[in-house]
Amino acid sequence: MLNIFKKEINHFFSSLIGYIAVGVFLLATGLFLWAFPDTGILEYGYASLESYFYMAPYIFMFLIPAITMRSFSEEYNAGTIEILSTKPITDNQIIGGKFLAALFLVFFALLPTLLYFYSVYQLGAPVGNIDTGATWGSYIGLLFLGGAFVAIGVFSSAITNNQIVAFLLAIFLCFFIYTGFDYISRLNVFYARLDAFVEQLGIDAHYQSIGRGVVDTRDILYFISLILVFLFFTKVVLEKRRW
Amino acid sequence: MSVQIQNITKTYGTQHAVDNISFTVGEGEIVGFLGPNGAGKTTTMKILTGFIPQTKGLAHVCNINVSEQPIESRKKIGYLPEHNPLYLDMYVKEYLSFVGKVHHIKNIKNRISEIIDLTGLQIEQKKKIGQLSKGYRQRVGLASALLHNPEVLILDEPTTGLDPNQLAEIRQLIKNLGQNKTLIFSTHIMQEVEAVCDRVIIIDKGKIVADDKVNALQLKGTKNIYEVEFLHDKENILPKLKNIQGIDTVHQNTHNIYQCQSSYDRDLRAEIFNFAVQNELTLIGLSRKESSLEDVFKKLTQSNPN
Amino acid sequence: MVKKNKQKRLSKRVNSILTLGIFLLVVVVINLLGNRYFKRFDLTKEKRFTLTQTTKDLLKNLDDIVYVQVYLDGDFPSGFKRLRNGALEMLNEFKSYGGSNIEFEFVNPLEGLNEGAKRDVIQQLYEKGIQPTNLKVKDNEAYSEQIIFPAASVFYKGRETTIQLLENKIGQSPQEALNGSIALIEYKLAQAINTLQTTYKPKVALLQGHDELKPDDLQWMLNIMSSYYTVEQFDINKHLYIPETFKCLLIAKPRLKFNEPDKYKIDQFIMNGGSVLWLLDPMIAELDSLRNRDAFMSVEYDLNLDDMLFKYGVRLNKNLAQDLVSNPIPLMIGMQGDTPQYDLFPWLYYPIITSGDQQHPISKNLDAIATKFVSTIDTVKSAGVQKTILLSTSPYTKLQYMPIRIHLGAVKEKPNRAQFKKGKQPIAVLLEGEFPSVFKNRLKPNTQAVTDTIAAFTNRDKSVPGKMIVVGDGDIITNDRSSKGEPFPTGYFRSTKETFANQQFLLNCLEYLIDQSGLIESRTREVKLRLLDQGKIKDGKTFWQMLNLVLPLIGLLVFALLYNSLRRRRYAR
Repeated sequence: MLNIFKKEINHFFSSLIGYIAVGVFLLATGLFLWAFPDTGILEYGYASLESYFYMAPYIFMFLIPAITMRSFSEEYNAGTIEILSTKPITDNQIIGGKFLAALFLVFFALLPTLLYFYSVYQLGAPVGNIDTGATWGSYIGLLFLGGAFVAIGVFSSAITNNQIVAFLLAIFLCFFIYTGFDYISRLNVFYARLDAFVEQLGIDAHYQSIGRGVVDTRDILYFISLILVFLFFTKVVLEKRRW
Repeated sequence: MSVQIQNITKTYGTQHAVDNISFTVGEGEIVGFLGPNGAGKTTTMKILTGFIPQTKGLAHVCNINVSEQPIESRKKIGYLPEHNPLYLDMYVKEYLSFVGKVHHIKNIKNRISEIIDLTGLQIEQKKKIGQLSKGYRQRVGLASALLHNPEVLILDEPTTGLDPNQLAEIRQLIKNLGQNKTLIFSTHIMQEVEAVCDRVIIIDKGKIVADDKVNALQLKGTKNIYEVEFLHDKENILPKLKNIQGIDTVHQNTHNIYQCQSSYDRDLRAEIFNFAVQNELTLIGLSRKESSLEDVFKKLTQSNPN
Repeated sequence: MVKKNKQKRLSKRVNSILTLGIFLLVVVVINLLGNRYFKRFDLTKEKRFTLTQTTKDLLKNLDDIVYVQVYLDGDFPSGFKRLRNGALEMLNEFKSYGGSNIEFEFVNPLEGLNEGAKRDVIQQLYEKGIQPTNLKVKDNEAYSEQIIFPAASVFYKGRETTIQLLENKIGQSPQEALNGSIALIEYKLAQAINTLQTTYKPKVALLQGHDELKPDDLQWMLNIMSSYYTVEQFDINKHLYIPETFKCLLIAKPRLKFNEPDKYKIDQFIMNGGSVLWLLDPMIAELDSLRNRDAFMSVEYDLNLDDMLFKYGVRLNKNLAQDLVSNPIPLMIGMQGDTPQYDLFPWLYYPIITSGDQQHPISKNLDAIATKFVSTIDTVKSAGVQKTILLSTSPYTKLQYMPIRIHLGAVKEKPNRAQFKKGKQPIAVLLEGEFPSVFKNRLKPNTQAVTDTIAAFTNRDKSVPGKMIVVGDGDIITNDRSSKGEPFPTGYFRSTKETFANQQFLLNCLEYLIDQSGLIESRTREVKLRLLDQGKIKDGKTFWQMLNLVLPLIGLLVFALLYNSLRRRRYAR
C-alpha cells in the first residue's frame, strides 16, 4: 500500500495538472479571504477563520475531483491497471494507497493555509486572540470532509476511463452528498417526518457540527462510514470491470 | 508443473472467450501460444496472471491456485501484458524501482542495474519512459517483468508493432531469457514460434486445436507441396494426378496450374515429370516446397468452422 | 452446461450484492449504535459546548429526582427537531452528571386531543407561562397551522417551574435564533433546577410611597417573579429602614419626590450590600395625555434623586429619546358606521431596543425590548464603581430636552433623518462596586437617631461590594390587559401583537442582582468577542494580503522546482 501511495504522490507531483489544481485552490481561497472585500477576513473584522471553513467545502468540490479524477481513469486508459492488478498486491491495497495518497495531497494543499491561521493569530487584538481549539476542530472537520470527497472522487474515477467524466461525476456526487440531502429534507414529503434523518445523511450537518470545534464521535463515525462505503463501492466496481 | 490449466472456461454473456481448455507447461519449457486475434490467448493469460477470474475450471502456477492464492501465485509470475502498458511519465529507473518495491526485492539498486544490462537498456536508462522508442519500451516492459526473477514468464504478444530490426532483437532477447525459465508467450507470427519455442499450443475460437512440439507439428499432416504448370490444359488431369503414388490431394489453382500435396517425405518430382510425359503434357513448371508451421496453423484454424 | 454457467454467474452476482448488502447493514448498525454511545470533545477555548462547573456541581449535589417534561415531541420541521435534539443532548449530559436523579420525558401535549381539549391544554400551559408557537405548515398548496410548545416543565420535590426553550430575536434569522436558543438550554435547565432546589426564595421589595407602579400595573411580572422570589410591597414611609432580608429593591416608576429620610434609607440599604433595580422615568410623558388633546408639554418629575444617582455613577438625563427604530401606535382615522377605524402610525418615542451588550450575561442572546418614552443615561466618574451599558438605542436617535412638546401631528411628518444622528444612547446601565454614600460628610436626616438605636442597622459611608441597575424607562415592566382584564405578558405590544423580551431582560437583571449561585454566568457562554486589530490591518493591509495570497503560491512553485529537480537528479543521472 505504501508503494502505491508513494507512486501516486510522485505521479501527482511530477505532473503539471497537480500543481495547477493546488495552485488554483490556493489562489481561489487566497483571493476570497484576503482580496475580495465581501468575503474577506480583514473586512469581516473578527479574529476567526469561519469564512474560510465556510467556503472551503465548495472549493474542495472542485479541487478534490481534480486530484482524484486520474486515480483509476488514467490507469484504465493507459492499461496500466493490468500492471497493478497482476502484481502481488491486493485490490484493497491499491484502493487504500490511492485514497490515502489523494488525502495526503488534500492535506498538502491545506498546509499553506495554516498561514491564514498565523496571520489571524498575529492580527488579533490582542495577538493570539483566536479560538485555537475551535480552529483545530474546524481543520479536523475539513480533513474528514476532504476524506469523504476523496473517497467519492476515487469511486467516480473507478467507474469510467474518461477523466472528464470522472471529474464531473465527482463534482456532482460531492455537491449532492454535501448539500443535496439538506435540500431534499425540505421537500414536503419529508416534512416533519423524516427530514431530520435525511438531513443527517448529508455531509453538511456533520461538517458544521465538527466545524464548531466539537469533535463528536458520531460525526467522526459518519465520516468514516461514508468513506468506507465509497471505498467499498470502488472495490465492487473494480472487480466488476474484470468479470 | 509450472503452469497447469484444467478445464478453464471464460464466458462473457453467452459468448465463450475460452471454452474448456486444458494444458500444462513443464518447468523450463518455452511455449508459443498461437492463434488468430480473438482466439482466447489473451484471456487465458489474464486468467493465469489473476487479472480476470475464470468462469470455470482451475488454474495453477507452480502448484499454487491462482484464484485462491492470487498474491502468492503472482509472485511467481513475470507478466508483460498486451500492448505493454507503462507509466510514460516515469523515469526508467523510477519505474523499475517501483516494481521492485512492490515485489519487495532486496538490494534493489543492484538488481535494477543487472536487469538493465540484461535487457540492453543501458543507453536509455536515464530517460523517461515516454521518450523511448517502441523497442526500448518493450525492453522496459520485459525488464519489469523479469525484475523479481520469476519462475514463470508470461508475455502477451511481445513483438507486435516492432520494426524488423527491433523484432529480431527482442526475439533474441526472449530466447535468451527463456533459457532458464518457464516461458509462455503469445503471438500470431509463426516464424517466431519456429524460431523460439520448443512447443506450440494453437488455440482457435476458445479451443485448443493443437498442442505439440514444434517439429512434431511441422511433421504432422502435409509435408510437401508441388506446384505443377502445364502449357495446355487437358481433361481429366486432376484425377490422374491424384493417382500418382504419394499424392494426397490435388487442387486446380488456374486452368493449367495444379497444386499437389503429399505426406511423403520422398521427392515426387520425378514421378510428376514421368506422368507428364506419359500423358503427352508439356510441363513448363514444377516446384516443390516444404510445408511450414504457418500452413499447419492455417489448416488447423480454417478447418474448424465452429 | 450453459445453464450451469448462468447459475454460477448469477450466484456470483447475488454473492456480490449480498456482500454489499451486508456491508451496508453493518455500517448502518454501527452508526445506530454509535448514535447511542458517543463522546464529545469540546475543543473550544471557553468550552462553549460543555457544562459549566456550576452546573456540574449543582447536578452532583441533587438529593432527589428532578423530572423534566419537554413539550417538544411529535412531528415538526427540522429546525425545531434540532432544538429538541439540543434539549435531549443536554438532558443526557445532565444525566451523566446527575445520574438517576435526572429523569426526563418528551411529550406532545396536544396529541390525540379534540379541539376543545386542545384549547384547554393550551390555556393551562399559557397559565404556566408557556406560550405556544404557531407554525405555518405548507401541505399540498394549502397552509395549515401547527401549534407547538418549545418549552419544558421541571418538577422537583412537588414543586414545578417552566422554562421557555425558544428565544426569538428580531432581526435574527431563524437559524441564528435556534442556535442561540440551543446555546441557552443548559442555563435555563440549570437555573430552573436551582430555583426549585432552593427552598428559600430571595425577598424582593417593591418600593411604595412615591406613587410608584402598583402591583396591578405589573401583575404579569409579579406572577413570573413569584416562582423565583418572594416579592413584598414595601412602603418606605412606614419603615425606619430597609431590612437586609431584602436582597433587592425594585423601584418602578416613582412619580413623587423622595424626601431625604427616604433617600437615606435607600442609600444605607445599598451601603449594606442591597441591590437596587431602578426603573425611572425622569420626564412626565404618557400617551394617555393625548387622548383628549393633540399635544402636551413634557416636563420633569421632581424625584430629587439626581444627587444620589450621580454619586453612584450615573446621570439620568431630562430628555426623551426619539428613535427611528420604534413601535407604532394606533390612531383613529375615522368611523365606519359606529366602529372607529384605527391605523398604526410610527411613534418615535417608543424605541425598540435591539443593541444590548452582547458580552454581558444580562443582555446576551436577548431579544428586542420595547420601551415607552425612554430617557438616556450618562455615566459619570465614580471611584470604585464599574459601569456596564446594558442597553442602548439604535444609531438613529434624536434627543429632545425639556421642555418637550409632544404632539400627535408628529406621526404624519416624515422624520428628517439628518436629525437622527445622535448615535447609540445608553438607556440601561449596570453599576457594580463599592458605592460611596450620598450622605457621606453630610448631615444625616433625623432618622439616624432612630436607626442608631437599632442593632441591625449600621451606618456606612462606603458600601460593601454591591450592584444596581438603572433603566431610563419605568414602563418597561408594565403589562397591558385584555378587554376581559387578563394581564398580557410583560413586553406584549397590543397593537402589533408582538411580544418583546422585557420579561426576560428584567428577570436577567434581577437574577444578576440577586444571584448567589453563579448560574447566570452560563448565559455568557459563546460570548467572547474576538476582534482583529484594526490598527494593524490599516497599517499593513497590503502586507497581509500579499503574505497570504502570494506566499503560498511561491511556496508551491519552490516545492515544484525542488521536487522535480530532486527527482531528475535521482533517476536521470
